[in-house]
Amino acid sequence: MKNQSAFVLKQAFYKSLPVLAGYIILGIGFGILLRNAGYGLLWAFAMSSFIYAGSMQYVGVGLIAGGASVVTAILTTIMVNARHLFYSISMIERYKDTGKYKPYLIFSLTDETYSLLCDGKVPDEASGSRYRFFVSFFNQCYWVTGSVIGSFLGSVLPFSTEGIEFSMTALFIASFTEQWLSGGNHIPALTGFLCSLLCLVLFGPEQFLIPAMLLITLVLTAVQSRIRMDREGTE
Amino acid sequence: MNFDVHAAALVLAMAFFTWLLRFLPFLVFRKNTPGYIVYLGKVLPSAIIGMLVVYCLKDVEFSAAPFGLPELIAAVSVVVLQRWKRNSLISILVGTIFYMVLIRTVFCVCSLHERRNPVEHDVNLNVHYTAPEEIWTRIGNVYRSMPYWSGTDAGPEWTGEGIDLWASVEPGGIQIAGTMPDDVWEIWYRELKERLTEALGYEIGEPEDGYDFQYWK
Repeated sequence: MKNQSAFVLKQAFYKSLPVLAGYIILGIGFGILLRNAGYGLLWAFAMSSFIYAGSMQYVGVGLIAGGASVVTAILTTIMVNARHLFYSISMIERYKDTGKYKPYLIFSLTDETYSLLCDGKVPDEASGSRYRFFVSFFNQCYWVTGSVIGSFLGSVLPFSTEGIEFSMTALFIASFTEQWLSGGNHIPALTGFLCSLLCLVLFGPEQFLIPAMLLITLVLTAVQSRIRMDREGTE
Repeated sequence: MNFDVHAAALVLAMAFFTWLLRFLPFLVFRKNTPGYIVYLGKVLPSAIIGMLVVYCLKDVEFSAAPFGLPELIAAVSVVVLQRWKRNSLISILVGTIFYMVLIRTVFCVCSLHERRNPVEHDVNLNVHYTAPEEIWTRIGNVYRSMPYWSGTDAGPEWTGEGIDLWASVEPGGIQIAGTMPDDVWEIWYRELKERLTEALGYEIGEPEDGYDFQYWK
């Protein structure tokens, strides 16, 4: 039993490693920004613990420093984080029987955690929930640790980390490639990629996400019968 | 320092609505999941990852040097590595290091020249010197939130590599002047105007561009 626990922990840690560097560095960036806006350690810790949404927290620093209204903060949150609705919808079945871990698993579903767990693969079905919990938890630890370090430092690191943010892009590209290679129907992956690209061109970088999600849902709904038949054919 | 109740309210609002977005689908389909949602659950993951790839590259500038080449080359290297080794950790680690090397070496020279060339700037914004104390507090907060902040009691200032900016209040409005490389300035100045607009509740810009002053009683 003890060996089993250690095994799950080790596997989860290994799985979370791709996120480590990116979260620490981006967390540091957030901590620095928040400190320079006049809000110290406790604020960084509280925001990373309770909000735990990378890009939203960066936007949040601007909102807090600029003295935005609560209504503005709420609307901005909905705009920036609408994609989380999408993640949750696709995890309803997967997280169905996760018991006591469920609330935390849902709360901690960031872009990066999602991309690690969305393929549904776990090393061992019986301890799947624990494994998912620890992957999610380790990721948040990295993020909180980074934020706290950044808040402590209060200024840029003595060495240049320029380009490290690419690790997040690389994470998504690697997941995309892996899912592609795992076989199955390629229509969903292509739909996601091409619809987003189209919306990016049409609506620009700040506005494209919500139209892209709508378009993706629309296209996937339209091809529903085809994909379902295809699945039944191959299974 | 007094506890900042308004900031705390903002943090709570952001946290609560982030939670709401994450929990809502689970709450709505708590009992049984319709077949359509089950279907979406199967096809969405690949689609969302495709979307996230685009999301991550959304700010890459493809129309100006270096035309997004470092990102494209590094992205291709991640795909090739993943196909070859099927190990995400290796693909991500090597791809990221490769990207960091690329932007420091091959793609460094061409962008460095224009990037670190300080240019003189001097602009006025439509905030009148008769504005009340509360407005100045908000402006001070925005100043402090801007990157490169290095202000002291002597006054607001921003410094960095090729950056030496200061702000003051003149009869013609707020004045921002000093040196900053052009590409940094373009983003920084736009951000400053947006944040001031948000903080003060009216459109901030240069009076000569038609932005009106607002007067307080």
